[in-house]
Amino acid sequence: MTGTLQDLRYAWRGLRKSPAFLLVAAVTLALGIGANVAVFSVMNAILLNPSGIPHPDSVAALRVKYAAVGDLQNINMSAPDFGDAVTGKDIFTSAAILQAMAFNYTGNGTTPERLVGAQVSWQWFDVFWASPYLGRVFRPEEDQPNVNHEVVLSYLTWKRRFGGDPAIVGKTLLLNQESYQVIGVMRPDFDWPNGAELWAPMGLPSSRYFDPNYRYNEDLFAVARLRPGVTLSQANAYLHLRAAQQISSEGQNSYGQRAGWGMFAMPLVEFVAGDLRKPLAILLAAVVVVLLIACANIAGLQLARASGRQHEISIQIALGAGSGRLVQQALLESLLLAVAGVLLGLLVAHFAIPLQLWLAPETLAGNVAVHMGGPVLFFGVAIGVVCVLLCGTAPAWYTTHSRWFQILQESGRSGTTGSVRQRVRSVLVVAEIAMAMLLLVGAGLLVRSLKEVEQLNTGFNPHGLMSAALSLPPTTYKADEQQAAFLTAAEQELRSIPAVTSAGIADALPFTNNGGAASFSIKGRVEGPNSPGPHGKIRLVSPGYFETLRIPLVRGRFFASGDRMKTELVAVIDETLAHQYWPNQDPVGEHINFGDNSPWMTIVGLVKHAKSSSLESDTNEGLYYLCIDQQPSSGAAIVVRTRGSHPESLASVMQAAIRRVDPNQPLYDLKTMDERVDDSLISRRFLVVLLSIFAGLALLLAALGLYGVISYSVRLRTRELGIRVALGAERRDVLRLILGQGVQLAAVGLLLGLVATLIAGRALSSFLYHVTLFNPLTLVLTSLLLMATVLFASYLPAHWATKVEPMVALRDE
Amino acid sequence: MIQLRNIERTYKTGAGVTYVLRRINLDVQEGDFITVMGPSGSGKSTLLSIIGMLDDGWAGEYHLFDQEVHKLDRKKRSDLNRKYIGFVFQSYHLLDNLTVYENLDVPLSYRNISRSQRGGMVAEILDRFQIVGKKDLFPSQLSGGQQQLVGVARAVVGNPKLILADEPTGNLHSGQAKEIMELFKKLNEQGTTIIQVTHSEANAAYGNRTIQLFDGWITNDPASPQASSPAAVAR
Repeated sequence: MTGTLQDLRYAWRGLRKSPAFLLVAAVTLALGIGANVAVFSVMNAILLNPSGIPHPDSVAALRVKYAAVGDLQNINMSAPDFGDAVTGKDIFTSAAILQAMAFNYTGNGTTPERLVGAQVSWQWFDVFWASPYLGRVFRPEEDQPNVNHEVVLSYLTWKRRFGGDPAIVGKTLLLNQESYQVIGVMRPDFDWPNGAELWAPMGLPSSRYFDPNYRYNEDLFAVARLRPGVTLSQANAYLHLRAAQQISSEGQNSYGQRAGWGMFAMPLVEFVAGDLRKPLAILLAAVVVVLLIACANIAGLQLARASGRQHEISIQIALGAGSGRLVQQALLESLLLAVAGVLLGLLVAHFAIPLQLWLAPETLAGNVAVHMGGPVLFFGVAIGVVCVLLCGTAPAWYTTHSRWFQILQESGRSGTTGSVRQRVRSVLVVAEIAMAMLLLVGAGLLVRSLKEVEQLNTGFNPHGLMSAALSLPPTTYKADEQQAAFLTAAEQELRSIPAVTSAGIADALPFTNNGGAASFSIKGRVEGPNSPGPHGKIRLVSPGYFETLRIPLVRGRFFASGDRMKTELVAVIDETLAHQYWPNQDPVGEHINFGDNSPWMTIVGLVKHAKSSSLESDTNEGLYYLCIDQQPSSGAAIVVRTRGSHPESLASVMQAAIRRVDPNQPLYDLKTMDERVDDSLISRRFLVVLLSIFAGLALLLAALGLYGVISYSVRLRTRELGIRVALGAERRDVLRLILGQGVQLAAVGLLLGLVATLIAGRALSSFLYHVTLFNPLTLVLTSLLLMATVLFASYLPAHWATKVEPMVALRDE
Repeated sequence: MIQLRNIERTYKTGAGVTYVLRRINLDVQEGDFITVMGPSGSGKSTLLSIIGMLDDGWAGEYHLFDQEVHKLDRKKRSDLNRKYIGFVFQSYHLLDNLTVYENLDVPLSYRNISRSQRGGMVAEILDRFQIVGKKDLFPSQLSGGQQQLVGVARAVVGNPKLILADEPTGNLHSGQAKEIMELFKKLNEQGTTIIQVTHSEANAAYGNRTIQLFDGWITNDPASPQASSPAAVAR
């Protein structure tokens, strides 16, 4: 122990004598460790320990799939599905459903505001083991129709909108023109669903959970907590059994059977993480690579420093120091460096996390509370320990494998040990360059994919469009006629705005992640026994919609002002749906309905396909449009086209236009369509930007490592360079020699990096769009960038090498 | 062949300037075998490095085959060095990571000589020095005498007109030293001008002229009876 403390003291003394090395090593480690902690903290908040959920591994999302219908592999549940699922009392301790609900809050006669809320069944908070901060949560008797007028507020809403009023419990709020009593305030760490400002009881009649008429109407998000000792596999086996029983009860060739309907459970954290799991895993792998490069650099620097201690260590051995003690000395120095790196790294992470979230998509940044708590700090310390081993192994190995006695005999002048060290450092630098190449190629491929996606046509013209959402309160707009009247009046008011050239309304706009899908029947067509039947995305739109979005008409007509509630029901379909279900005929004039005795709708128009949610996907998903004036919706979005170049300036006049129709109707989610299309690329851009930053950092660190190796090589080769100059070598010959060494190392590293890309790059394949893993242009450009960096890093030591005075160099002998 | 006039070499030290060579005047004819002798620190190696154009920090006039070396830039001096001069070092200064063949090829690779031509020249030198069997060995596999033999071979592979040898037998035993000096004598008889620096009287006897240096001055030069240092005269 005394020896350890002594060695620690000597190690600290040695580091203090080399302040430049200490600074470079500490900063290098800090960058590597900080980046790792920053990415891990986000992963921890999403995947491992999301806030507000004790034991998140036993909370499951209950989902439905239609195996035979392409894009319905993971969707919400219907009320009867949920009823079936939760009869398994020995599987789940608690279960609940949710439906998003917006509330127009009118407080103290002020302008109405929209509150983002959720209607939930009474066990919602039980599933999450969430207890209130003030008051209480819902009771079973409050989750009934017509009596569900209690609300629980979120902590943030209570603080921001109600000033943290300690007497809020018991107060009445006017929501959607109805009175709701506040019964509780949740704790600050509870935020499910993310962003909810308040919760109200769903109030479904209990008969709904067993009503077959509501089967296959999946509009409820369901969660459940597994009973202790029950695994997810067991839960899935149970749900599979219940689904099979349901299918069997429907008889032969039922819709559920043909469509491959089933129920399943998945971890809630996995559901929430969604498309973010893979990008986060890739980013974590990238920062680990950066850390490896940083550690290799420091290991190389420590090897070089060991040359200055050759004589000292050989004397220690002569005086009786064992190899264990020498290894300890080498590792203790690395330990001190790692401690400095961890402390600085946590500081780097503290600033990097908000930057990361700023770049992140809304689904991540808005939904995650990232804390540098216990698990994150533990991770930081753990990688600090790894750094000690990585940085200290090379010098420790060197200590035990060098021929120290020979060094002692030669009074410290041994070219052999210098060249061995140099070989080890060269191997480290080659590995660094290979890893940097891997990240560079990855980032390059993603950049190219992003460019490819950005070029894609949306199918409509998003420039010059301003949009917003509104939610008609069901109490005020109970009847379809009331909703239709509002929507028609709203469209007219919007068109009357001087700067507006056209206006439209839809239940869901493109690139808003809203909108539903439904199966339909085609008149005169009988589906095969195993066919699930026609299916497509469904949109309710106004007559002005197509013109406003500039979706081209192929045949027939758009909706018109004459298409009203009491007139013939009409539909417009897109080319994708037409190719799918009317491949060899003109669909205009055909009829579709929703099966059974529902009324037929005449297809009056065929339009070009417009992308609904993503630039790169959904090309196979056909759309059919119904006239919103005939089949209104309480949730709608408005869109206007302006002749000006700043559509965002229309926000206030649009709000004013809607208030002229209903003064209590607020607009929310005001954005230009260009912004919405751009937002759809945020996830991809997030990965591209961060991976590019890490690739740049890796390249910089590898270049520094190479610079160190080449500089040291010039020092070792001073005599040789002197001889070569004495024998007639010119400046260019010396430059070529030294740069050639750097290029040689880089070439080997580049080739290894390409091999690594072949192996590890498959993880990126799902993010590549119209770009293959071995895209020639990307490989050439990244190779050129790498070589340019290598030449730059090698040039300075090469330049110094040309300054070697032959007689000075040779006089040293 | 060589004319040095008022060559001086100084180094800045602390408060002032130290003279390593002072007013050196020297004429060397083609075919001379000159020995430069003097105590340690007298400037012998410095004189050799100036003549060999490995040192640029001197003042004065230097003519080599009527070329005014003192007016040439570094590149042109290097060109002259490659064309006319071969250098033999006391510590051999072979390149450890190259074989004997490759060591002999290095000086040729810095001239505009094709690969095939270089191969022929190296083969000829290996044969001439009877070291063909050692062409694939590394310097660490050779004795001191063999290394110096290779050093001499490397100096003559480019057919220089002038060989400069700085203590060529300093690290050899007497038998090996004799071999090397015999070799120098033979080269001189074949027309190569040789200037050697040595402490050995035995080695000096191989030459036809001995120049004495003391404290940077030429104190004795049979070809130039006026050479003297003020300090020597005072003594």
